Amino acid sequence: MPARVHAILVVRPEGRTPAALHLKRTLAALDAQVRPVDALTIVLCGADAAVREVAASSGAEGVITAAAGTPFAHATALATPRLTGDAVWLLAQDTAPEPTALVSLAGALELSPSLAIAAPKLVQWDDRAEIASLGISVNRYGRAVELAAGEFDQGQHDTDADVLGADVRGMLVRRESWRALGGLDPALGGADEGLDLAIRARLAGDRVSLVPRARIAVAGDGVAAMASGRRRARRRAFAVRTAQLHRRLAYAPAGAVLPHWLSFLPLALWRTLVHLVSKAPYRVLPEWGATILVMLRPASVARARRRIRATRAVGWSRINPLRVTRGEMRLRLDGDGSDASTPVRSELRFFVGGGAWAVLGALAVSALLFARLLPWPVLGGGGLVPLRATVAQLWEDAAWGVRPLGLDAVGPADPFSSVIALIGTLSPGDPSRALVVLWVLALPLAVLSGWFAATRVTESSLLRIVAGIAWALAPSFLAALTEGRPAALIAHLLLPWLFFAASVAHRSWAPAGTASLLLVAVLACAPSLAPAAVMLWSAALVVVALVAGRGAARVVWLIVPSVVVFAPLVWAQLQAGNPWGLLADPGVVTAGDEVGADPLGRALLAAGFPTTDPGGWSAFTGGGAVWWVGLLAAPLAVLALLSVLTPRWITASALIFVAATGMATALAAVGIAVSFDHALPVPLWPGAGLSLAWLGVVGAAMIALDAGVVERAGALRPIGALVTLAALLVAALPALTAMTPLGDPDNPRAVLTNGPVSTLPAFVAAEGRGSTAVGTIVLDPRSDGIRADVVWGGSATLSGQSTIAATRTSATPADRELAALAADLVTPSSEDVVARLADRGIGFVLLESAPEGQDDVTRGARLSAATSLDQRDRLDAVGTTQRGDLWRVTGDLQPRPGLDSVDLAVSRTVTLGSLAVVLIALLLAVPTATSRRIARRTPRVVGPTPGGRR
Amino acid sequence: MSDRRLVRWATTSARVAAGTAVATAAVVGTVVAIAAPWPTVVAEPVRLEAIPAPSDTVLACDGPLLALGRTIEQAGSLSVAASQQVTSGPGQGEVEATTLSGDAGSDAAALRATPSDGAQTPLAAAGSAASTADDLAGFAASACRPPLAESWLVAGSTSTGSNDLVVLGNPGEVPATVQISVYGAQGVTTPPGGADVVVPAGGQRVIPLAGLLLGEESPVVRVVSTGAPVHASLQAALTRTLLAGGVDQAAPLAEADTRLVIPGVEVLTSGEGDPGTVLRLLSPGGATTATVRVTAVGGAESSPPRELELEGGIPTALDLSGLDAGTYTVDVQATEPIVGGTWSTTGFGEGADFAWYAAAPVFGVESVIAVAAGGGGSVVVAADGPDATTATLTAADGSAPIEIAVPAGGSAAVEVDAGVYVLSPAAPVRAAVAYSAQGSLAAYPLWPADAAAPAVTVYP
Repeated sequence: MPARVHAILVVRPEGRTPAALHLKRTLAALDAQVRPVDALTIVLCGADAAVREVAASSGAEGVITAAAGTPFAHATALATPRLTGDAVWLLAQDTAPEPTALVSLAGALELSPSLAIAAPKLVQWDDRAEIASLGISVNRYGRAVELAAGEFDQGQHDTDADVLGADVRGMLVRRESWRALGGLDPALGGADEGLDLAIRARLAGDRVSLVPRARIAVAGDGVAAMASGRRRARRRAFAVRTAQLHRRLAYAPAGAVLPHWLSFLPLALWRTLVHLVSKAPYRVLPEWGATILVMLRPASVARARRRIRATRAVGWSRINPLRVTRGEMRLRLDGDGSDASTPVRSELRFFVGGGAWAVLGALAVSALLFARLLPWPVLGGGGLVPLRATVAQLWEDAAWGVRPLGLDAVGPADPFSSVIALIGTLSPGDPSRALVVLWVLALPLAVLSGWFAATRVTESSLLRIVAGIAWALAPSFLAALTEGRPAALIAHLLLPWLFFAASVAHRSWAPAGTASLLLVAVLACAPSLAPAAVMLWSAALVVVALVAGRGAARVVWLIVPSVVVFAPLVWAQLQAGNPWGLLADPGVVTAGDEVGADPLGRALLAAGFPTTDPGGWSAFTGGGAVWWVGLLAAPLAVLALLSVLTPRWITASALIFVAATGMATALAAVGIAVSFDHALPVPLWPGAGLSLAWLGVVGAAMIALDAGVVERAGALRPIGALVTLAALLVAALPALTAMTPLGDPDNPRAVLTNGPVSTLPAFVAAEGRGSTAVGTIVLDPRSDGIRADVVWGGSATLSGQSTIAATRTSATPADRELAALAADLVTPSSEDVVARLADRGIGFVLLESAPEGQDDVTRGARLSAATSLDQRDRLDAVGTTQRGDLWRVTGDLQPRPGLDSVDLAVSRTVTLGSLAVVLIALLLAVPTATSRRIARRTPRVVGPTPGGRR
Repeated sequence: MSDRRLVRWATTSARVAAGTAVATAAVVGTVVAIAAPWPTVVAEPVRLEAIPAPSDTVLACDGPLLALGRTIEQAGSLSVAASQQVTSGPGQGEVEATTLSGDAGSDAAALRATPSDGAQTPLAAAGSAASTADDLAGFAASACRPPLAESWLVAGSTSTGSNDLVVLGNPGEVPATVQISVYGAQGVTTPPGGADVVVPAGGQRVIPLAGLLLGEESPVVRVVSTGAPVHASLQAALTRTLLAGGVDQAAPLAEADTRLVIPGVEVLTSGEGDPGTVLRLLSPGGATTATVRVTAVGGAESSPPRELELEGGIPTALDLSGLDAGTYTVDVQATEPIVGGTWSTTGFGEGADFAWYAAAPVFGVESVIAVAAGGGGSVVVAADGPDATTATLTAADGSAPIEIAVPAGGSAAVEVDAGVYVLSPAAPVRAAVAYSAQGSLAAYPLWPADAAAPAVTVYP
């Protein structure tokens, strides 16, 4: 019969102010016990003057001072030798028992001699009606399951008594059992200590019982059991997982320990994926930490197993009935599904609101206007060249490794190659066709993306459609369409989706993951947007950190995949000392009809037009005056400016800021020329910046029409929308009809052509189809020198382009070798230059056709080069082709050298790193039932909406 | 005004003020941005100067004098009338001598020297041949020359008594395809016999000029080769009724130029009604006016310039036989690029010989020259510029160098023996080797060695 109760009170302030307050209340509660404690030992972890004072005046029989970080299990072990009573009461600074708690607990032990542990009902510190913990069991995988935590106490659990285990706080343990069991297991790391103690007691043949009458208020300081609170979720996850894995090894039959141990790493990997999909990425690091910690602690496991073996009296079968069954688990999970909060989010109304019809209409218009493109197998002209013939090669181009252009270039691929590979994969039989389809689908896709982006700005179906159409009529988009700029086109199609996802990234992980992937794609297509992206991202981070408080981690994540994916390229360009080259537009370098870096050009940019011929009107009218075209974007601009006067001026100002960032990017871009087309510097394409600006302007204009029109003048809304769209439509007319017979046939407004299927002669294309083993040295003699390049495979391809090669400003050893080869080839040198070609694996020499309007010097240089090439006895003249004169190297060719072991290792690392970060982002982006439910609690529209929403 | 209205009024005012500020900032910012001088970054492309490896020195000689149709049975067959004696040197380095085997065993010499020490090996050669046969008599001398992609042959005739042959030699390693076009009184024609003439590697082809354009008094032949450059020359032979009127191997012109200088033209005689010295000119492009100045060698006084209207594409002949006998330098200037050559004969009776004098290119660098064996050989040097200059002729055998003083606007000649010399002009000159002896007349212009190959600009 337990005559005496010895309480062990562990105090660990950890520098927190409430510790002394909590301790005072706990001590007061102890004093107020109906049945007072017979002996009290305080274990003081760390020297805190206030706490020490309180402890000293508590009347404890002893105060043990321990190191500051001493865990609960160690602290109780320190006090164990001083135990005098018949039962041990485990308390911490934040466990305030109600007056009758001890009498109830001690009564339970008194009543039942077989009872080893009596556990109280833990309630919240400041709300005794909410249960903090009442009984803990395990599921079939050994995970600890709280049986009643968080429930509102209506006495519904007061009849439960027989449980597997309980929270360690407030446990009253019979002293013999405490001694026999060896106290708490410090290897558990702070979690599941009570559960583990109870299981061991049950294995020793004793019983564990709840005493719901005994209530103890707990604050969750974390001295005993795990601390509560969001901030310590990571530490809690670590301890819980450590405890679970440690218990698994400790409880397992001897033969199963090793298999369990071996399964830990695969399990950690699997659970990492699960954590990501369940939008809890903060658990990933604790997961690995716990796994590795437990795997490296065989001694602790052995000690735990020894302790169980020493006291075990009954079999594990005695435990089984007390476990939570699968059915009960499912019930509990389903119970979580009930969601009290009503959804705030309105219906999407994509079909009902007419968005689908707008997209369908755009599809019909596009199919009509670009019908000529449909039968073309390959799109050519401007920056459009064929894609590789097979999907495998597309992805080969996208990986770090041997580059398909250049003498022996090895290095990182442009991330844009991955975008192209992704698009090409959609048409696996004929990847080049995918670009043709993309061109035809561009208009409807733009309307679709614009419509979805508008859902973040307005609830009005009309305005969403208007925004979608305005997005598809953006001059920068139409210029990319007619000038054949795939990168700018894809960037324009992706930007609204990025806005759609990134604007709510701070709310939850699914949009953050999506937005991070979209940002990679957008930056891959338009690296010139990187400064603007970093600026907007920093601003968003500051705003989220200051205003929202939560979600900063999700905003930080937005750029992580971009940083990882671009890292090899950045490294390579920094190594080459050419950081400006990072801004270069990917793909084929083409000057096109870009505005100049002068006030006139900048004025055109400010009017929204990236080309010297605004909207193509000059070509359409055959050289008429076009100054008025610049005014056609004015209605949209005026609306955007008015938006800052509406009640939603904060959102509008943010969008104006986005527009200003985009415009600054465009204005700066025209003055930056870092890549070369046939050795001529080509400025960055300002269209990407203009697209970003267009996003902000269209968004702001929609806000003006949404929030700036009072209800009684509601008709202004459709009128304003129509005027804006009509003006834009006029500006877009020449570009939209560029592939139709309308307009001046002598002044084509689009450079799009049918094919060619290869940039090399058909002979090489046939030889090199499906492989990059065949090399062709392409020589282009001009009046100021010879352009020389090496193309591997049947054609230069879009995914094979490299900004590193296109922007380099200093010669590499390969450049010098190529220059020497070219110089020897075009002069009648006696050295066997053809043998050097063969050693390099180059099988063809192409002397490109001279461009239109060649001068005599060029013609002479070409003729003498052709004569010199003709004289080489190892060069067989294949003949004159459309692309130029072709020679074939006879005899044996050495294969092009592959990657050496270092390169292979780098290639694998880069590929794995990129894949891993993309996979993580994808897993985060996958919507789950929970993430969807959470999303429904927030409105679609982002930003403050004073005056309510329609 | 209630508190609520006051608050509302205040928030609205604040909103309008903030909004106006943002809008104004946007507009002002845009206007300033348009006008402001934005910084520009324009990168420089990689540009490399690559020095091509030096090429082999390749010389192809004209070969022996050929006689056409000596046997009745085969009127079109060729036979060797007189073999060519070749003088070549210097012998440094590896000089590989081969022969260009022709249609009738008419093997012409070809010399090839690989570069040594990263530079072209200097090499010069010249050959001469003399025939005394009844049908073909006379002396011919010619230099062995590097093959060309384009050659102009201003010589020959296809009128009665002429027996002229276009000789094409290919010293290269791949066959050459040659297009021969002939400029005549009717303009330019590309006869079937001259289209796609394949000259095999290491071979020689001989095309009778009469087969290309018959009955033409003053033809000009243009030879364009693809596949490999060829060495083109024209063997001109003349028979006046039954008397052999002489033979010569005429040198090619590499390109048409607006100035032609023909040094060392011998004016010896003029027949009755037959001109003894004729200048033939052709403007292959458009019509032009040529100004002809003739200056005696050793003197500086030029005869009064003669203006000559040239029709585009039609050769024009100019009689120069009104001059006193002597050695002259003919200088032609035109507004369009022209080609030209001068014919001169020792006489019109028995034992006569004639020579075709081709235009000499600018000789600006020290080069090896070869003087073929022959009587009365001399090196004629004409000043290219208006100033007097000197040129030094150093024999390869180490004898004392000969200084040639070239008067301003004139030319000078020194007699030389056969052999190999180094001609180093102080200023650019034009030079030729001329032979003039009793019953033998020949000449060939001197070409400078190829200048070291210039660096090639490559944008890799």
